[in-house]
Amino acid sequence: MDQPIAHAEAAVDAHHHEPQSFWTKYVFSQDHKVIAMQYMITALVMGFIGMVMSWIFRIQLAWPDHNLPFLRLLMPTNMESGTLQTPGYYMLVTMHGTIMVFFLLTAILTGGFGNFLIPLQVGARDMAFPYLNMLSYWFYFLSCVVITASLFVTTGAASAGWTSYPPLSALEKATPGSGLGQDLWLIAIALFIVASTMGSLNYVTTALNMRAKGMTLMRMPLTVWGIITAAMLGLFAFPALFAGAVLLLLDRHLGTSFFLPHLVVGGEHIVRNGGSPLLWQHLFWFLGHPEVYILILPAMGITSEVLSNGARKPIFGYKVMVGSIIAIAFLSFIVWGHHMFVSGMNPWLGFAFVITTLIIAVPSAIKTFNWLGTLWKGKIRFTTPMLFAIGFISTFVTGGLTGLFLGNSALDIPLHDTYFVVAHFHVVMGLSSVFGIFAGIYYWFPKMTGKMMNERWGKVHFWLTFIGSYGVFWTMHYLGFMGMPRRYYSYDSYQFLPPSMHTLQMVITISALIVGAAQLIFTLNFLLAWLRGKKAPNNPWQATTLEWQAATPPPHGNWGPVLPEVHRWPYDYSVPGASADFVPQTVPVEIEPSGEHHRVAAAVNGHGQTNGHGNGHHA
Amino acid sequence: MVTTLDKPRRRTQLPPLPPGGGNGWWDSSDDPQSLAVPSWQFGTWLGLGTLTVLFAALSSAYVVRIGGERLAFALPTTVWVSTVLLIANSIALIVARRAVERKDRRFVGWLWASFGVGLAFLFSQLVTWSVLAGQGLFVTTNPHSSFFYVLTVVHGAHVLGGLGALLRCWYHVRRRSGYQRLRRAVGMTATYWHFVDAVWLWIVLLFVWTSL
Repeated sequence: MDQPIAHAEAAVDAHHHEPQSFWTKYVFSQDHKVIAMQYMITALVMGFIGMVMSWIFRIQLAWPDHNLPFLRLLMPTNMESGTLQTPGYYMLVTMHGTIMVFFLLTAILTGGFGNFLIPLQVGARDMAFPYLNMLSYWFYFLSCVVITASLFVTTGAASAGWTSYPPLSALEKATPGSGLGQDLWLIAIALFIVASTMGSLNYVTTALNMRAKGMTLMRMPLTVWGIITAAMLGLFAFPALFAGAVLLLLDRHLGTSFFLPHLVVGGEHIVRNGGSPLLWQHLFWFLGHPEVYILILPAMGITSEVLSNGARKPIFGYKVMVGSIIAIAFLSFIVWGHHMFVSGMNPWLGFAFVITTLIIAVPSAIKTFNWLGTLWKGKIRFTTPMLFAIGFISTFVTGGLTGLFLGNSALDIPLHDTYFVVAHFHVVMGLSSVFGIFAGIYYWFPKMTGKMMNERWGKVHFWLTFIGSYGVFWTMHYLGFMGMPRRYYSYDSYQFLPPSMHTLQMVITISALIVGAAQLIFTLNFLLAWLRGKKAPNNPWQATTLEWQAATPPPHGNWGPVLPEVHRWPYDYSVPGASADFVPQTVPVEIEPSGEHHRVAAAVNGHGQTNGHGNGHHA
Repeated sequence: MVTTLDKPRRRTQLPPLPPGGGNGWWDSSDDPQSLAVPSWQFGTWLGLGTLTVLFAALSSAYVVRIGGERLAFALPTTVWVSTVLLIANSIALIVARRAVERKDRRFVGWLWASFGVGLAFLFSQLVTWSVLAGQGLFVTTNPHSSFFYVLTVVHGAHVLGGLGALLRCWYHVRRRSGYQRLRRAVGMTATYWHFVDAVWLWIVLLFVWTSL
């Protein structure tokens, strides 16, 4: 078939597929950009719920058993007489962890950014399986509904911790939340895994199989590398937790003994047949540790993208960055035992996990070195996304260093049940991912919505979040070293805890409330910019990657009748001899007669776009 | 004699081959930057990789849980009947797929044969479970019986999914959805069923191994 006919057919076909009704365009949409926004907004709402939960239990920790009647507005149950009750505390920390790890961070990084960026950055029209993509979001939405509904169960939501260790999670009478709330927790997680699997199949297949002409693997932006590697981790790690969830449900309701040994609880014999609670820990952490990298790898990709753009320099060591991503992904499957050093495992096995854990510091350090190399002598533009990307490096280094402490079993054993661990994983996994997410939102918001977010309020948001977060977690490290135990809802009656701990707890809570207030600023900025923001140009950051060559916001099918064609890697910033300090990936490379230098052939206009899609190829 | 698409004589004739091919307007699988396999095939393999981890997790949980203890009961004879049925299923689908590649419309009969064998497998599984229950072996009796029920029920759920996929192929035949779409549907279904059949062999081997 000759090209003009193909061209015409593609245009007609694209028009034919354009959804017309409100329901197919905005609700049950199969367009990756709409699904991305659905994922993003749902995840942000879930994150807000998780954050409010942390405010309530932080207030309890700073002012134990203090009567705060106004909190009853936020939590009608478990707040009798204005004081948070013990079951309510455990419910809040459990649901905070669950919601933040799965329903906010995983969902927004892969479902939100993955959906929006992968087709646009590799030059595809949509995902490989758009229907499956739509199902992915609706399964995720359903899982959000189930986990949120569990908060309104009479006996309360799950309260066995976000890790749901048996026997606490397996015995219905263990805590109030071990009843229906725990069942709903398991069902929500199972639904979430189904959603994540459907999404991940799409992300990987699209990136590997639907790239535009010229988009070789080594020309893919690091964001795409980070997201698809995280998706692979999800595909091969989540099923272990799914299997665990099925077995735990059977233990709870059919009386099987997968995780429950014979127990005597409160004088009552729980007759079971030699099950092992540690079996759950193995299944959980086989997902649980890769999960950390499911969160951090996309954030690393976003950071690399924003840093190179903000420093106006090529990313330092691109191939090594890709290699490090793959190495981290591989190693993440063989380190799960470091979460179980205190489970009484054979010291030799513990030693093996120490070694693999410490090895993972090598590719992580390489990446950090390369980010610093990218910043070095760059013409840095301190935009809001750039500040958050730099903030990512800061928190990743801080959290990574304490990871070296905890990766050693000899140090982990005394520190494991203290605030030190809480501080470590919040900084390296939570904060770093959050900083990556904010960098990404501020950076791609113009392309997503066609509007610019307010830079001044963005910077206020950054500085309050950055300083406030260190106020929370720096302090928490000290509490950990002092021996402050995790999971205590009230601690003022223990003599081994000095009064100074109470002061530090107050510092943490006040800092957490400041960080919370900063997120309200972000929410307002986000909403106001979307509704009434300044119109965004096509390429406001003068960036090189493909998505900035699409219209703003990109239409259905992304590229019109002509697909873009890629001629160069994604980080051509400050190329010697170029008329602008960035060269988009669609600009052809011309070899000079000497064969030594590449020079920019096509002009780049003032809006940061090449002159038309003349270099594209027909769909 | 092979009946080709060009000589439609029976009711279930295939529509003519549409111009072009590929996955649809969004697909760029002809592009040199894509993998050698089409997206649907790659996605299927990736999905089966995920299911492999699911069964591997359950299997390793079984091995860890029994801690070297031997299988406490004899596998019912119907397990071997089930095994033969699933091997027959895979053979039927290999033949069906080859027929589709040749554009030989007799593939429809082979798909129905596969469907029938799949149903028969589920029936033999019901018999197996009732035989075990008759021996007093329930899901709570011991770790072997617990995992036997869990693995076979999870596998059975995937067999149901396979039956659904066969019905989808039949739907495409009825709807005359086009050769490429039909070829894709049969290809995905066959690949999926081979996987489900292989998992069954693995489950049987696992329990034979723990009985040694």
